[in-house]
Amino acid sequence: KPIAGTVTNETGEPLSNATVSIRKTSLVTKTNAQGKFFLEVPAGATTLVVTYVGMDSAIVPITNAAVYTIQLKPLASSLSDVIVVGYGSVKKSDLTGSVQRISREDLIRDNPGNVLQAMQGKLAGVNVTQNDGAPGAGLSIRIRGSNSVLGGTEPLYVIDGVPFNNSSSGSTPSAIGEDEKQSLNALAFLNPADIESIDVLKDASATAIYGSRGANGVVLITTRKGKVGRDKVEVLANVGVAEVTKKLKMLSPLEYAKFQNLSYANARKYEGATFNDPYPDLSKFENDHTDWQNSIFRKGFQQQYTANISGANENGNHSISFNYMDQEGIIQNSGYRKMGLNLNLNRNLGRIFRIGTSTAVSNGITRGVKTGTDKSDAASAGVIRAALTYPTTISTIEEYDGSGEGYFITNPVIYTNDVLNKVNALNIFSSNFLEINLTKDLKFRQNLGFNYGGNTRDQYYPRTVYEGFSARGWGLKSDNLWTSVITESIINYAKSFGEHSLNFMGAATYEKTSGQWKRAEAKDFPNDQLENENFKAAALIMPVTNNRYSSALVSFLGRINYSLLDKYLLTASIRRDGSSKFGKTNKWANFPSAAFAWKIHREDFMKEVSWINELGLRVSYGQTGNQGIGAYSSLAKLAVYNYPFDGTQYTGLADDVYAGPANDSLIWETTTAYNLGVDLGLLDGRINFHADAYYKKTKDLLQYITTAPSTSFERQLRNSGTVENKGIELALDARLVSNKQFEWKAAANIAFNRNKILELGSGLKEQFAANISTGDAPFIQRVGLPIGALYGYVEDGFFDNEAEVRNSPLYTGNDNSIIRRMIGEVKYRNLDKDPSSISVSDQTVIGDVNPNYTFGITNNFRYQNFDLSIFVNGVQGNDVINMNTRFNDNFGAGKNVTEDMLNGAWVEGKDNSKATGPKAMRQFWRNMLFTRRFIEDGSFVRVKNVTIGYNFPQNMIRNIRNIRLAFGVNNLFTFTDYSGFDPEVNSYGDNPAMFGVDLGGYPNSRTYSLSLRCSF
Amino acid sequence: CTKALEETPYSFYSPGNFYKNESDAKIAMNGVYSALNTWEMYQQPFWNLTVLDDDHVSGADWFLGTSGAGNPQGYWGVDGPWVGCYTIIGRANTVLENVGKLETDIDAEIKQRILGECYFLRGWAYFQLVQLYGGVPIRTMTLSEDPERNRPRASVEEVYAAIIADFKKAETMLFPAGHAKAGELGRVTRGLAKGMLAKTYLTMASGAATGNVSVRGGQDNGYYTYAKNIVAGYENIDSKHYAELARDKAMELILDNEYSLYDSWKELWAKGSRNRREHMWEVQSMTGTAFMNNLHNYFSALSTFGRGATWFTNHHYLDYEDADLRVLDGVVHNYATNTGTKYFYPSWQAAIYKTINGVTYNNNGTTDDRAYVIKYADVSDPTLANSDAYFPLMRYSEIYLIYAEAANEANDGPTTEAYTYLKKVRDRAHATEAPAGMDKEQFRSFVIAERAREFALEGVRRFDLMRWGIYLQVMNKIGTGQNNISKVRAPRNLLLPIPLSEINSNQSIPGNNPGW
Repeated sequence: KPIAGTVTNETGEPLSNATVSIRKTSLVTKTNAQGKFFLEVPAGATTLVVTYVGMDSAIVPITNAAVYTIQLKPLASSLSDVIVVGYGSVKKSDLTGSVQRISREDLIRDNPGNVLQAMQGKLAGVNVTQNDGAPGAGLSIRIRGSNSVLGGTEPLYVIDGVPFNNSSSGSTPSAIGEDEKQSLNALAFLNPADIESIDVLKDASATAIYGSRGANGVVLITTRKGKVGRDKVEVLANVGVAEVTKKLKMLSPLEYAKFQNLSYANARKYEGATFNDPYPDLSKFENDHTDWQNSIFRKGFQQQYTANISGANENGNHSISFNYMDQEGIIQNSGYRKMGLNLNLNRNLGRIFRIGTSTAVSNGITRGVKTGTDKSDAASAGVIRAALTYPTTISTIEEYDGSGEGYFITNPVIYTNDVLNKVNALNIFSSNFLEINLTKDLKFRQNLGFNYGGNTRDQYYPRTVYEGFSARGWGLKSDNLWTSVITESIINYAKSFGEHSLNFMGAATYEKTSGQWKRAEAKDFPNDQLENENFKAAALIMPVTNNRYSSALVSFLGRINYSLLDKYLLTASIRRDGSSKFGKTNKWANFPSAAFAWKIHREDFMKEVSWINELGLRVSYGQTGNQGIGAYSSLAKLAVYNYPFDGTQYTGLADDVYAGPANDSLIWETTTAYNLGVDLGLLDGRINFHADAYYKKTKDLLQYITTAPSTSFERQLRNSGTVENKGIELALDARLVSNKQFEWKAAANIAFNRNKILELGSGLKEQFAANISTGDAPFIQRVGLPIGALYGYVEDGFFDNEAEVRNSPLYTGNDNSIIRRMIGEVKYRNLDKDPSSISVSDQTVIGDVNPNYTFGITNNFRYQNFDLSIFVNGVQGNDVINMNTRFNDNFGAGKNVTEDMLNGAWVEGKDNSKATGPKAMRQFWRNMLFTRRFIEDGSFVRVKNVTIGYNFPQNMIRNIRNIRLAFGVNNLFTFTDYSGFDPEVNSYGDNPAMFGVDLGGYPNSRTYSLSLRCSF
Repeated sequence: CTKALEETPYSFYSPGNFYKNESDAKIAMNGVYSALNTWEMYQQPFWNLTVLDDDHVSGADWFLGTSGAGNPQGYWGVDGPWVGCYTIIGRANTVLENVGKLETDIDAEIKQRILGECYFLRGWAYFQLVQLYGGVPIRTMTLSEDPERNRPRASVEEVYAAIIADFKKAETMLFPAGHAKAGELGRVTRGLAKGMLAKTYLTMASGAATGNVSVRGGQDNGYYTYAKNIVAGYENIDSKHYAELARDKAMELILDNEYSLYDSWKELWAKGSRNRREHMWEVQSMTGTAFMNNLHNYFSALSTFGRGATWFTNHHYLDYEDADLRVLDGVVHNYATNTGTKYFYPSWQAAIYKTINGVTYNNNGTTDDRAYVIKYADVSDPTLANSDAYFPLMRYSEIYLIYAEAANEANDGPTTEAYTYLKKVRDRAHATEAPAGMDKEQFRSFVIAERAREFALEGVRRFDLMRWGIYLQVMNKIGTGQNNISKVRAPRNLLLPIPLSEINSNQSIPGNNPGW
């Protein structure tokens, strides 16, 4: 009998060229331009199948009716979500590994500036930390703890199927000072509004398919594609204001002058110095309120716009997006500006071929001010420390003139405004494919990925600041270019035989990365007018330094998914990787995985339990690697060490002390991981609960083993040591109330990870990560402790009087003048057997930068057209090293200090039981040892975002489909005991061995923003 | 696939295809010298830790507040000498092994000279280490020949044996200065090897000697006599024997007649005199390269700091006769800062220096009393912070003073020749003759003081106080010195702390030097 019908999308618009077929027959037709179709149904036919690209297929029983209206829904709704798993995708309900997704709505709700910010706090076990608060700054991400001390904790990013492999530190071109630790965000080129979804692969069964790069997890980013229906234009606009969240209480001019007088008086009293009071007349400071923080902080205006045109039909889809972002930083003269274009085109060529591209081009410009440096007591310590330590008794803005013998700091305003430090980042990322349907079940796909990064830095220190003063202007131009090309040939076979369903994927891939950097520097310019733009005019042109490298990765991989009765799912994969970076005897390795999932709710005995709609159990095992080291790491190198003889320079070569001796057996770190997961859905999916427990053991840790300087090498890269991570992750989401008027959805996640070094290898019992300042190396790596344990001395009050110093075995036989000056100084606890000295062996474990747990809670409310979302995240139980005041510890020299430091100072003749610091005294011999004094509890709970939005009724305005207006505040409030600007700070970026250090980084900001989203 | 995974180094040379001919050997040798001029060594740390730490130096408290005040651990460069000296040792070992194997494509005499340079530099590095740290691990092979990474500290005497062996080899393999195959000026020579050998012997002799030393100082600049300590580790050294060796080696060098003193103190410190005549060995420097330093900026009157940050004390100034060229010409009496303010020195000689050609100079009588030396002032561009000052590592006048000191110790009293060579140094400075008829301890004390006058701020005085075992007594007698610089020293200051990286990685070194 004949039937007729109409196929529409979810909003009722007709779909042309949808395929309508009758199951178990060869009858098939297409809808016309009005979405209508006609078919002759043979006897016995029972089912219609309607398919359309980008939509869920509809299966419609054939009834007696002659006319059908079939509405297709876009691929979206929860359980049928297709999750990208690497070299393919599966339905969310068919997952065997631990994979979590963030969808677009959750990504862009609080207007994040970049992708990683958008992920922060939203996924259990994915710990995103901003390195500092500067616009455009890098963020670090750790998934399930640190597996490595060297290879980084950065996961592998895969954008539309093509790996993007570059750490933020790698993308930052070299700066004038080695101590300038600010990093850039390598993923800045991606506009969050152009992302459809992010899937994070956490367990080894999911990541093993990425083999030697899967150990830190894999983040799969899928960009936005055009959706079926009428062409759509969407505009997002966001304007806001940022301000600093906190200021530190430094001494006012009057307090500072008194403090200096006291310091000089104490130098006379305890050391017989002959100083006069530096501020004999205090009266002139009485009405002076100089605070240098006020002079460098400002309210920063921020704006961000995205315009997107998209659409699709059965032959393909398109999405073209343009975005512009301009963020003023909260410190004068700092900011970030970016323009980007994102193109996503896919097209069917006949029935067999399909091609597509996803290409992003972006240009970002970071204007930086110097923050976060790791040289102690240097005059070049950056604007934050300058603002904190510059004397407030000087109220004028003075250029650095070299006479600053007392304090040796550049005026913070000059420092902020006069220095040029601009990084221009150009990124092209392109992922392209050709897909061939060889047969109904067999598909071949060829990916071709191309990635280009070109970053340049322009930097100039004029003679008005310390760095440029003695050099008479110091300019730099440096760049950093890299390209990588990836080809992947993938074959996929999928077939169902009754109760069995089988999917096989096999692939061969080849990836080549090459790059180069160079650095040109000149000093002594005629004046500062042209900054770094005329090297020829400089009297001193330093030799250009440069470097070129390339590395290759060759891989073969395969995966089988098998499902029985749609209840029992089995996944197994293997990857064989060959990397050029490793020793000549160890280029190749295998990475297997296996996983099993049981959909318990499909079992007959569960049919009775109607309130449980999903219950699943997942078990997995897998091996992954980490090859996050540079090219040529296994080779010995000669470095250039020239020398002049009698006024002529001669070339010299010698063993590169940093490269160390060659290591032919260098191989990747291997992580073996186990995961057990439970998924529970209740009340028709209104409540979903996921729990995962994991255990990971990483062996052959890549480490620079410090070699004794007496060997004349500093270090050697070796595979040495084992570390374990174990943890639990819980995630809950619930639609608590849902009706036409009011809706309340809540989601919460919490993750616990415990890290432990099982062995260090190489006969080592312990070793230390690099210094965080000239004399401090508090990060100890010791068997039994986590990576990130802190080591140092323990304070034991103060020497309250001369007798106490005299009686101390530390000062037996010391000169009287030493004994006198030790009164009011910190006592350190003697922990070794030698009472006569406080030495290295008096140190102990005094902290740990790893959190006990991290969590995030989101509440979304909707009342009619209004909505409100509140996002809270937190980190608990971690220590942060606060180096802001480490460099004021010469308490009594010219640097300004905090009110707390002065109020806590030891004072002779007073009750010093609550004293927190030594006596104020002008001196330079005091050497404060590294103790808890410089470590603080970095726990925080942060109201990260509150957004109130209003959705105008649909079609209220002609031709405009949706309008949404929202007001949001980011970083509304932070509950913390941390005394610095913000506990979320990580000056060493993605260096896993040195997490949680505040080197005087760029402070965090609070942002108020108004955003508009409309589509038409 | 295997081919795709081979690494192509684009930007570095690899050791596997180097050390093949004479050019490679020379380039490798330059790399050993290069370690002298680094941020471990003479770009600052080595001189900071040694020049700023004696009884005669003064300066700005912000600069002398760490190593200059007995707190070397507060100074960022504290590990420099250890790391730098071992870098020299390691590179010398590499060249000795690789160039030693070269039989063709190299001139035999050049090869011999290069090996001699290596022995010299290695010996020199160990000599610095033993004085600064006491007994240290001895490494005479590269890691590829001797992979043992853990090596215990040898005794002071064992280190000295190694130093002497190296200098003796160098002495036979190097060419005299001016020889056609001696290489560029600025390289080490046979004469220098002899001089360093004499200095080594003398250091051993004085460390092991007993008796008294008189030193002018304290708060009142009076003469104080101290019973000298035997330096730790030198107890079994035969003081007299080594004094004889020092005396004879110095005399051998004097008789070689290869070097001579400049007549004029000013000419000695002029740019044109570098590497010539009296300058037996200097750390080389060059404008426009990485091999510049801030010696000029810290030590000279004119400086980007306004005025330099380091000078010598008024007390030490009073230790010279007024007509002594070393203060008359060698100390800056009238100068302008970089902002044009004019100063004179010393305040008590206002009659001579306050007004010159109608121009008035200032001195407030306290903080303006700064005896800046001219030693590092003649550079290519004195208005820059970094410039091309050379740092003297050995001057020929020291050979005369080594002879005088050694002869006095060997003979239990000054000989005629001892007086003769002391006189040569004093004559050049236009100083009057040393008092006749001094006994052994008087002469010894006089020579130590003469060395202080001759080598002020050249990195000699601290080593002299140390080797004579009077460092603690002399420093603590002052207490707080001029410009409020603390001269108070604890016993631990006798040796520098060994770097933590050594103690943590070298499992054969159980702990640090006493007190650190």
